[in-house]
Amino acid sequence: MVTIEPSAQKIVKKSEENMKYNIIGRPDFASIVVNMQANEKIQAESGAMVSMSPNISIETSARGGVLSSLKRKVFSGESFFQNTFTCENSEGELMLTSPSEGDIVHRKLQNEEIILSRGAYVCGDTELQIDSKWGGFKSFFSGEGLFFLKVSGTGDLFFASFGAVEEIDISGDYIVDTGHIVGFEPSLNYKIEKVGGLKSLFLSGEGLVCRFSGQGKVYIQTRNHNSFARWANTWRRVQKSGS
Amino acid sequence: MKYSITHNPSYAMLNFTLSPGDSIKTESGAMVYMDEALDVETSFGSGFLSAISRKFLGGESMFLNTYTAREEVRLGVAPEFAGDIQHVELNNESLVLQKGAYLCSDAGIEIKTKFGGLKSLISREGVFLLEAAGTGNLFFNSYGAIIKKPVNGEFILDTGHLVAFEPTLQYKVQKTGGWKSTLFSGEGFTMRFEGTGNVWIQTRVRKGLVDWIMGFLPR
Amino acid sequence: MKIDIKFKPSFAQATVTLDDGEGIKSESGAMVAKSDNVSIETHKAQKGGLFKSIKSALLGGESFWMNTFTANNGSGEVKLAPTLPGDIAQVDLANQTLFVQSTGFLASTPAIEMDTKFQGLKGFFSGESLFFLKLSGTGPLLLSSFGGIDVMDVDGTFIIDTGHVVAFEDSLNYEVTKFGGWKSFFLGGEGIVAKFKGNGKVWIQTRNVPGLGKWLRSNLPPKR
Repeated sequence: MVTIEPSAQKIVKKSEENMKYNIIGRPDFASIVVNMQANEKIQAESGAMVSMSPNISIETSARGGVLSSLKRKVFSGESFFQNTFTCENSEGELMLTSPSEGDIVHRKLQNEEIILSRGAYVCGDTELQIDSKWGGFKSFFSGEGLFFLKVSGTGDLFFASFGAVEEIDISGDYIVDTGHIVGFEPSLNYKIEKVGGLKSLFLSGEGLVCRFSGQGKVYIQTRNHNSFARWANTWRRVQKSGS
Repeated sequence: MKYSITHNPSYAMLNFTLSPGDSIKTESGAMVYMDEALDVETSFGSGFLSAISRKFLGGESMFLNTYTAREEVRLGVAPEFAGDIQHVELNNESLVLQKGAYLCSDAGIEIKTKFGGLKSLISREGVFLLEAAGTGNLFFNSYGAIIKKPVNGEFILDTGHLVAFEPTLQYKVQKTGGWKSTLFSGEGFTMRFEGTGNVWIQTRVRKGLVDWIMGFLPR
Repeated sequence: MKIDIKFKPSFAQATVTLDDGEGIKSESGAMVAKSDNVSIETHKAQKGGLFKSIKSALLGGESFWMNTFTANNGSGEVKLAPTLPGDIAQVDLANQTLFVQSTGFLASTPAIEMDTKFQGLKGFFSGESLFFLKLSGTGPLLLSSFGGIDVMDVDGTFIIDTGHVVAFEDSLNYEVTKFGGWKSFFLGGEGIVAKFKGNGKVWIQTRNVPGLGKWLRSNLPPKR
């Protein structure tokens, strides 16, 4: 059989970290390939596994207990159960991905904290703490949900975007549509507010925005999951009453 | 027949330049553009029963369109979903495709339904397979990027991520880890491949898109 | 105005740097981010009163309201992106007219005029939006596509699936026609196609918006 190499296979971001990983297929349909060492563990969002070597085992648990898992699921859009993959005996290969069309970003946390938007977490070191974070009262109206996700500790973290990711180093005030935020550093102050006047609030299609101030990094995604979901919603069938 | 694949890996399109007499068979609805000097014929593929089983078990449309060039013409073909297009050349060989992965082929390649085994019925994504057999060009598509994985030994793949594999490989559908993992891990069932041959995998799952969208919408 | 399109071809985003006092008009909901000194004004899609705007919204598929972003007290930037994954193409009009499929308009200089063109009943029959915005004037125009975008040169007759047309030059005539014979029309999955005649450019997209929509209709759980 004559076959050719898929083009996405050539797009690779190689790691220089302890954890041996490649992010392939960037930036459109990125996936993570981890070359695991014996006894190495990785925790991942449920449903993230694509493929694995036969010597990798999977364990499913509600990390941090039922209450904490429930809070993460209800408030921050993460799965209730998390999977821990363990590589037994020898080396193995594990491939993980995200359901959204877009990129995957790696960031090594060194005893620090990062705020992620709803559903952005893919996988990471088992040492990382993942918790819900109150997004402020106004976020209730933004369709973004009341909560962000707070990831803290030390270890490798992978998070996903809808669309490509642009890193913006903020110094001063900068305004981002709430549906385009992937994550940001906690050194930044943020305030959810309306864009323009009242007319713009209701008719501009922009809804609420996030005003960042101070110094720090914001990861923005080039597509808006809220507006895409609203677009998809216009195609949904309506269930007839009584059925 | 000449072809080029553009806009890959994410929104790939297959562009043919056909000489007089050249024929291409496509899944229905795949035509993007064409010159006028092309005849199109819509058929059941390899017979009515095969078409019915493809529709209900294989996830493909019941109908195939065959385009035949009267002059030198352009024909553009693309799948419905975001993703890549892969080309393989079969030489009296066959390739097993996941349902929905068939895009188009030379008219001489036959497309049949292959039953994925009983366990595939309970797996969430289903493993309904098609078999493309014969001699000529075959083009298949994915949701997301396509990765070619040469297997030599054992390899475990989430069922929803399968695109195609060579029939030299044996496979079985199995649960992932213990029962708790099968029910709650979100991984459901996996395919365990054994032997030597290539597996083409896709980096996204259509059902995953549905869950992801619903995460942002009221139920 | 400086337009920088990055993250091509699948998730393109346009960063528009505006000089002091300069503006850009965009479809509603397209703003990703902006500088603090860029103001937003929400207004009707086209000049000429309420009726024309309603016609534009109903027939053109574009939102009734549009936004104009203007830089104040110095230069500023606004980042724009469409709703669906895909590319952005910049076309610089020089006193020209382009017909743009309703979902293909992302943004333009405010100087470009927008009007709608009714394309007849056959558009309804195919279940696909076949309404075009008529854009005329001079200056930059940003087209957005679902999937990749290609420019095809038409010289003679050229057939395109209606869901794949993004825009075309007004030098081209076109008609909407059934695909192949009756059997192909009903069973072949293509339905209605657009047949372009003459000399000019057509912009096509590599994915079909109603195609994804129909898949979502049968796969998303129904609304209660």
